[in-house]
Amino acid sequence: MFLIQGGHQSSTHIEEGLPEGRADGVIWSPGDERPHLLRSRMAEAAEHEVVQAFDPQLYVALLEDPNPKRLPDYELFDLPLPPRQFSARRLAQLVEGIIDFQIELPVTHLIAPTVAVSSMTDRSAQIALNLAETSLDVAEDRDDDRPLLISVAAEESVLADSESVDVLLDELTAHEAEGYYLLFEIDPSKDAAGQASLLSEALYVTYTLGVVQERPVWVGYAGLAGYLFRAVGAKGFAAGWFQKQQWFSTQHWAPGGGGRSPRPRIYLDTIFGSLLIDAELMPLRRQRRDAALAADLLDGAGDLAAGHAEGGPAPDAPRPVCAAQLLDVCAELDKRIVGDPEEDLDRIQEELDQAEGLYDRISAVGVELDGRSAGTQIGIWRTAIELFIDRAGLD
Amino acid sequence: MIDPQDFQNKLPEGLTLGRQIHDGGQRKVFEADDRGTKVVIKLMPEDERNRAEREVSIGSTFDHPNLPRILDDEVFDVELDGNEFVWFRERFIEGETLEKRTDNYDPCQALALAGDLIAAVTYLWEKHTVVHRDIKPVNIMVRPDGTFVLIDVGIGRHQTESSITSGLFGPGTRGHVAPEQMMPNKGRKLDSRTDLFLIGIVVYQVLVGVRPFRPRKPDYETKLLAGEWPHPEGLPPQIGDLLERLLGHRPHQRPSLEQARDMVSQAKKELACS
Repeated sequence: MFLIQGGHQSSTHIEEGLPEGRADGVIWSPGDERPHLLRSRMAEAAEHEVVQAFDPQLYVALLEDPNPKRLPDYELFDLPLPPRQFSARRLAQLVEGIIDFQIELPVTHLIAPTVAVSSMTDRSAQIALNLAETSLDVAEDRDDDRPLLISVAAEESVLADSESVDVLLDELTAHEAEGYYLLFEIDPSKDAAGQASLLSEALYVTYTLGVVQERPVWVGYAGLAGYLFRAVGAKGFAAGWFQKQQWFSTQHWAPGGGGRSPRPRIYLDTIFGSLLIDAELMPLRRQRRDAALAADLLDGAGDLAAGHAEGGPAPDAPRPVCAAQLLDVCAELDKRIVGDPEEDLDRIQEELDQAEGLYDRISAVGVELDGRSAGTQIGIWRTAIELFIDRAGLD
Repeated sequence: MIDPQDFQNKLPEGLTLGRQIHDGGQRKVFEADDRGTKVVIKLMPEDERNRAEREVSIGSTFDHPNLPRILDDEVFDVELDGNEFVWFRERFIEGETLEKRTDNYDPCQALALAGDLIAAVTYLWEKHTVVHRDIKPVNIMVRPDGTFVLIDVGIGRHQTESSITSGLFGPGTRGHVAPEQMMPNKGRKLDSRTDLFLIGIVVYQVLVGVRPFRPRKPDYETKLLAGEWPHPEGLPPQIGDLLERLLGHRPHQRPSLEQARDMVSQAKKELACS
C-alpha cells in the first residue's frame, strides 16, 4: 500500500493523485492544512474510498521554538509543550482530545500521538511510551471500529544504537497494538555508511513489528526507501513530493526560510532515484555514446517517463506533473512486493545491481550528476540490506 | 525439622495429614484428607507470608485446567517447634512432577506440554496480569492422562507490584531464567514473554534431555545474555521454529501469547498429533 504523505502544498497532488489511482490513500498533515479545508478535502477523498489517516504531529510540541504552521489552528495542544506538561493527568486529557478529534473525521485509521524519541533513557522515551499506552486505553474506551496505529518517531540517536532499538522494541511489543505508524529520522546529508546503519535499524524495527509480531505497519515520510520497508514487512509506506515529505525530522519544523522552489526533477524506478530534467536527463537523452541509455533509464513507471521515452522535445514538467511521476514510481515499487521478505530482498538486490549498472553508464557518457541525483542510495540500500539480514538472522 | 504429628495436632478437625510430597527446605508440601477429599497442604515459614498470601489471593480464583485451585481464601498461622509458619490448602493433582520424567519426549508430547503451559500463562497474564517467573520441571505436574498443570504460582508477580526479592537470580532458578531476569536493574517490567522463554527452556529440555543454557558451564551467563544455545538436530522444523521463537533473546523476538498458541496448534496439526 502506497500513501501520499500530506505536507507543504500537497493538496494538488492529493486531489489529482487519488482519483487517478496513483495512491491507495493519504496521511494528512494538519501543519499544512487549514482545519476547514482539511475536512472538505477529506470528504472529497472519502468519495474515492481510499485509506485516510491524520498524523496529529504532536512531535512538534516538544521543540523549543518550532514553526508550527497551521497546527495551532486545530487547538489540539499548546505549542511548545514542555515535558512537565506530560504528567499522567494532563497526558490523558491531551490524548483524549487528539483521538476524539480524529474519531470525528472520515479517517479509516486513527493515529496515536507521539513525541520524537531521542534516547531510550531520557524523558522523551517515557513520554512516548506513556502516550502509546494511554492512546490504547482511550481507543479501547471509545470502542471505535477503526484501528489505532501506535506511532513511533525515532531520531537518529536511537537508531544509531542497536541496544536502544532493542529496548524500544521490547517496550513497544509489550502492548497489544493494532498496528504502527513509524517515522525514522535518517538524514540524507549524512555519510553513506551512517545512513546505511540507521536504515538497517529502521528496517529491523519494521520487520520485527510487521513480520515477527505480525502487526500492520506503515512507514511515514519514507520516500523511495519505502520500497525497502515494504520488503521487510511494512504494509504501507508514505511519501510526498518535497524532500521534507521523504524523510522525517523534527528539524523540518524549525523556524527558517522556505527555501527555493525545487528544480524540475524526474523520479525513476529504474535507478531508485531522480534526475534533474534540464541539467541531467536531457543531456542523457541527447548524448549518442550510449544510444540505449535514455531508453533504459526511462523504461519504468510514470507518465512523465513515458513522455520522455517517446523522444522529441521535453514534455512540460510543472510540479504537479513531476509529483505525479513520483507517485507513479512509488506505486510501481509498491506493486512489486510479493510479501516474502527474503524473496523481495533478493529481487531488490538484483534490481540494485541493474540500477548501479545504469549509474555506471551515466558516468561513462560523461554526464555529471548533482548530489541528490548521484545514486548514493544504491550503496546505502545495499549495505543496509546486508546489515539488516544479519541483524534479523535471515541469512 | 518439623514434626508432622505436631502439625497434625494443630490442624482443624477433619483434616488428616498424609505423606510429605515435597521438601523445599523450610517449605513443605503434604498430601492430606479433608473430610474424604484428597487435598494438598502447603506449609511455609512466616517470612514467606507475603508470598503465601499472594498465592492464595491469586490461586483461590483460578478456574483453569492447567493451573491449581487454592481451596482457602486466606492463610492460617501455626507454631511448630517454636517457629511461626503459615499454611493453606490446594486441590490435589494426581500425577507426578515433570522433574521425575527422565525419558525424552517425542515432538507431539512436547507440543502438548507447550500448549498446556502456554494456556496456563495466558490465563495468568490475561486474567490476573501475573508473570509466573519460575517455570521449571519441578513446578509442572503431569497428570495420568498426560495433561500438565503449572504449579507454585506463589512466585508469580503482578506486573504492577514491586519485586519481593531482588538479585541476579531471584526470583527464578539458575538454568531456568530468561535474560531479562538476569538484569533486574535495567528497569524493565517482566511480562508474559518472560514466561514464554521459560516454557521454551522446558520444552527444549524434554526434547533434548538437557537445558539450552547449562547452568554448570562457566559461560552460562554469557551465553544466556547473548542468546546462544545449541540448536538440536533432527527435530521437525515446526518444533525448531517454535523453540527459536520462544527462546528469542529479546522479548520482542518472542511471539505474543496468541502467536504462541497458534504456532503450537499449527505444529500439532502438521505433525498429525492427536
